[in-house]
Amino acid sequence: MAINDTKNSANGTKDAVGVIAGPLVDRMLRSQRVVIIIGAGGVGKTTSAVALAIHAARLGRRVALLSIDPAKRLAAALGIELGHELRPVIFPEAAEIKGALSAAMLDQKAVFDGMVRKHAPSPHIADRILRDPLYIAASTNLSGPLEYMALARLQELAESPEWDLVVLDTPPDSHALDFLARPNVLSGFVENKVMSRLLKPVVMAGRAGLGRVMAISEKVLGGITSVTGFGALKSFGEFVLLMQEVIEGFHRSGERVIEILRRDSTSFVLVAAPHKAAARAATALSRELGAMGYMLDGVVFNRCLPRTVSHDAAASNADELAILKVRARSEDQVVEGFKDGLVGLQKGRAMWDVRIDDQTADIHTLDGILKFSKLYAADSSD
Amino acid sequence: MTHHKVIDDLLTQKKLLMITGKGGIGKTLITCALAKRALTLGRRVLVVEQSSVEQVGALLGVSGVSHEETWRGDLGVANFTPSGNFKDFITKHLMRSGLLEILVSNKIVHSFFTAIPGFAELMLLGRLYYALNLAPGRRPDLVLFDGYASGHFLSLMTTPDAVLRSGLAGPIIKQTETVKKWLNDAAECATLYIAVPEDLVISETVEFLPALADRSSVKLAALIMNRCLPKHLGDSESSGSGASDSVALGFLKGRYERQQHAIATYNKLASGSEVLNHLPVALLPELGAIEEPMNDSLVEALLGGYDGDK
Repeated sequence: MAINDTKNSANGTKDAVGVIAGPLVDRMLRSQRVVIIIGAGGVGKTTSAVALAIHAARLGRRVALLSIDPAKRLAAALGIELGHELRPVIFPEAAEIKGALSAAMLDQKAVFDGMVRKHAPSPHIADRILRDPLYIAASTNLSGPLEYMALARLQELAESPEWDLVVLDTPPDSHALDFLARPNVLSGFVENKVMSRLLKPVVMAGRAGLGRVMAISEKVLGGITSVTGFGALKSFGEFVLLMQEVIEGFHRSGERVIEILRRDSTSFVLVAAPHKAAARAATALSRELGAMGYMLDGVVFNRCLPRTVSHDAAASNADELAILKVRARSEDQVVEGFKDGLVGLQKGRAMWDVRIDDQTADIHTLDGILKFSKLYAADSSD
Repeated sequence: MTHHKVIDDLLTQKKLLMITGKGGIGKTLITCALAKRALTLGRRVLVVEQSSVEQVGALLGVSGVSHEETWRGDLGVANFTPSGNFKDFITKHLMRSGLLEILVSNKIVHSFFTAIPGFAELMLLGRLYYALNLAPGRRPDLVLFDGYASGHFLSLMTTPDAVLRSGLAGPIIKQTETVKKWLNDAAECATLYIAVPEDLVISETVEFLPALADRSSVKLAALIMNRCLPKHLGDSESSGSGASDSVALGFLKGRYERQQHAIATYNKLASGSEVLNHLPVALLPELGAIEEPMNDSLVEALLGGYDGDK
């Protein structure tokens, strides 16, 4: 890395103070088994996930944090490597963390390879899958399989007595919900083994020749091959057959994961930024979440203008503060508008929201992130 | 106020501009402002997004945005969908609508195609090619693609290679080769990268752009630095409006200092990088908040020059 921006770490800048929904946040972190963080890209989602996990550990819980939106600098700040395995985060004694935190920031290809090795019927078949060009394209270019595996990992951790709480940081962008819907997508894929039934003849025909497969297939198969060419079907067919075991393994965990996601002891937290486009994305996300039967318990608005700053700007006529006035007014409208839009979605569950100030200090150090995590606390007197 | 020559040149000379950058950095806003500017410069411009949450319509004041292009004069908007792209590929590109019924109506076939790695990405790139080069009727002069965030964008751009390597054949490969060749043509296609002057974003940018330049077939044409605070905040004397000791001004000045630090860091790192050394950078001002739909004065405020410019 070219520069080290974590050295000039936080000091001298006043700690920001948010409007705290602390008691409700604390209650969630004390009582829940799983907390899932969703949000569009660029809203500080991963940072909020880390902060909530640390705060839960501060409250005495044994926390496992899974992130599939790996942030190298956050990982470095926590003193862990990117990878599949949970690594304990070591806090200084002065931080007064009563519980414990272990974190894994999943690396796409490593995770996928690991799962193939675990589920494939033999090392030989695992090797063949790992060498398959389509597999290589999938495991390096597509996040889908990674996300699916993160859910499998979530299930494993949520059922382990080793952890009191699992915090899951989901992928950025609007992919978060594809991600949560994925167990269903994959169920459709393996349903009655249609894919392998369809493709087996194609793979067999590798020896018998094209004529035979056309005879076996109906117009459906002919239709596909006329677009992709025969080679594609064969290659993909082999891939699917090789992946059969793996996919079924994922599928089995997938059904249990959905059940875990719908439990009362699972909370969803939405992270948003206080501007119109982000709020639009957040509204869509929360509605779809509701439609999928998952419960939104809290909303974090990151990067809000500190109240002291917006009050001060509002009272002044100075030209150079016009930017801040415009921003403060817009933020208030967006936050209120967003909350109004959620009414009726919550089916009687009390929902909290927190406004977290735009951070002026570096939060990509352990010290910085520890301070930042206190913004979520019930007792925010410091 | 002077417009950035590098931006105006791209808007008047290219056919496809792909806009990318880290999430939440202002890609969509800038895409829309560029579209309005291109319109002013006399181009027929189509803004394309591919997003589950449609964002462009609100900014440009166009309602009912869908996969089909919606035109208001010489400004068009579309929110492409993966299934729409696939359908267009079969019926418009290959012109075989009979095949479509078989392919799209069948659930099995549908899962087959959605499961092929990179297929959706390829269809999207193909659809952009189609809009500019093959579509019947009056085609746009310029397509602005409000692209995915950095990492996802890189996968999108490396897809043609992945598909070429994967053993696929038939019309898909033929189409991939055509599209790849076209994307490679620096005279027609270019990428714009959006960043903001914050240390963390800058260090990610400096890391990401060489990888993008190396792996993507589309030429990286410029870096746009969004949300730059005005230079006078750096003056040691405040401007005498009585706000000098206020919390709010202190907040702005603090942010300005960090901005200058980030820009200095960029300049230092860029001078040692082959990719970044000659990459034009355009600074755009911080506006505080964005009114929707955006009007001409907002476009001017954003693109019409930044007072910290040299």
